[in-house]
Amino acid sequence: MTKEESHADEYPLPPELTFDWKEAHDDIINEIRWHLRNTGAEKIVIGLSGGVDSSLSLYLAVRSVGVENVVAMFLPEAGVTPDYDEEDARAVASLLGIELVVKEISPLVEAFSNEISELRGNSLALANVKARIRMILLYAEANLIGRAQVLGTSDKSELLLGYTTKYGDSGADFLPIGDLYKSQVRYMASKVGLPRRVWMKPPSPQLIKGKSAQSELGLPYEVLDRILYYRVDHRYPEEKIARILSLPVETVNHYCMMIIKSDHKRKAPPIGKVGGATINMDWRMPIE
Amino acid sequence: MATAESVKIALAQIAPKMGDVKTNFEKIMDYTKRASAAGADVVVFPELATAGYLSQGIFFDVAEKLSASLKALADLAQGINVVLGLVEEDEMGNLYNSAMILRDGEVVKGMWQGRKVSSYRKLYLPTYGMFEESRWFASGSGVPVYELSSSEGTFKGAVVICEDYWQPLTVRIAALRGAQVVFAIAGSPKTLQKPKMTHSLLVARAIENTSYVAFVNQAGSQDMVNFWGGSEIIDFEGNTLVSAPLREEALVFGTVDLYMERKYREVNPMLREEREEVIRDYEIAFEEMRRSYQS
Repeated sequence: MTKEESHADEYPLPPELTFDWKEAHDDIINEIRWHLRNTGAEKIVIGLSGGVDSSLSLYLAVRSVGVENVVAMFLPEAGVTPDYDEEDARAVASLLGIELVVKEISPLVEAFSNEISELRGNSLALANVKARIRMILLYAEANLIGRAQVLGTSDKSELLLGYTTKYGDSGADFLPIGDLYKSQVRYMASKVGLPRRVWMKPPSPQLIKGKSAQSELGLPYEVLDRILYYRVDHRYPEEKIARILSLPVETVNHYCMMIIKSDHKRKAPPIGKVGGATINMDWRMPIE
Repeated sequence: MATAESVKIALAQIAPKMGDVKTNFEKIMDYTKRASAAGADVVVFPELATAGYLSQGIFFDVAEKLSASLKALADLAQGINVVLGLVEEDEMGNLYNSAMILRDGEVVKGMWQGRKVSSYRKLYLPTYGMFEESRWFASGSGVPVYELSSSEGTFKGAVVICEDYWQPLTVRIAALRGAQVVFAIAGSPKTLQKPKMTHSLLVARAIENTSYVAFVNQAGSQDMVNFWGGSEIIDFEGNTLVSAPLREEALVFGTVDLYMERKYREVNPMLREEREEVIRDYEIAFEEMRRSYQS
């Protein structure tokens, strides 16, 4: 048996990103539990796409507060969401013993496109509308069931690159796996026993038919994550990262620039300062 | 009064709720009652136990100028020393990340440079990475040592707060002033590395000062940041005598043998062998470093 085969049930994590997955798993579960306790919420609403981020997030939510306190919503779009995502979402839900709430978003996408006809010719604008429709449905559900928090499923790689829709998939009350790189999410998903096809399939936001994350971002996450890790976790200069990873320096520059340009997506909107007690600048308060 | 040969310590690893002083005091009273009922001589609470660690602007609202709650806790503390981390406010309006020791209705006074003081004020205020303590707090000026009563007699204790034990000098100063037990209280946010690093530091502080270290950390999570608990008592050889679980609230008890510590110190001269020349050289090296920053 080759070494590769012997680790067939484990995602091949780049060595730099090695971490104590069990400890991180327990940390996140503790954070989710206390977040609910501190905010007075009892339930979690989460969008499950069949991808690795939302599958692991759902797993952690269920482990944290129990299946009876989690609502998992699968929000496909006819003609765009591939059948295998639905199969994977159902497989994960079934594995966790949770009933999947399915709501097709196509009629809502259609309604927006009819109202704003220019959307049909602008794939980026339309893609963002789809992500925001999903956000609206998740928050509507949270309001309807009451005392619920919307759990966002963005990982550290997506957050750093700004590969999210503002107020769309990043519109959430808390982001439990936001400090794990995509490769670490895939690794943890493999360790906790989620289906292999969930953590091995190429990540995709499935907002535009057939587009994978790699086709949009230009590099696989295994490489992107190492660039991000050296830049963010160790603040290495871009030239050194390029040397370590044998990449053209322009490539590293490009992704580091994406981090800077997407800063606004990770923060609350800046408030125009007038007085001496400006919110978030002078008036600083905890969330919980 | 006789010298105590052993002291029973309760580690009260609580998860304070940010800004909810009422709930936190109720919990502190409850743990104190339980520790007292179990015959503890000391019950130790974490750093900022009344306020929570990440409370930011709430610190202004929860600062203590000897509130009714604090007085009630002191009254409850009959025959038991309560080591409590809290926000203290002075007459000038400065806030401090402080510890007080309460017993028999009073705030126990510590001795510092020949003066009586009512609190220990954290010396090193971390202001880097996720930490912004200098934004909220002023820092203290030294390490007082307390003569504390126990069921057997008296003993000497001191308090250091979190970042203070990441620096070697605070516990050393406490030990030079005769502290037999150092209460190291913390509101330490968890990372994957932090528990191991902290344990190593505390073991070093205990061994290098031939002193017991009673570490008490917050538990729970605030704003999605875990406070990892892991409270423990470490003896002068670096052994863990008792430990509390990670992350969860707990009340655990351990007894330190001060007689054995005294005998150990007779043959292990870590404190006596401290040398004036080395301290002088430390000062000079520090000055050199500071000048190199400024030039």
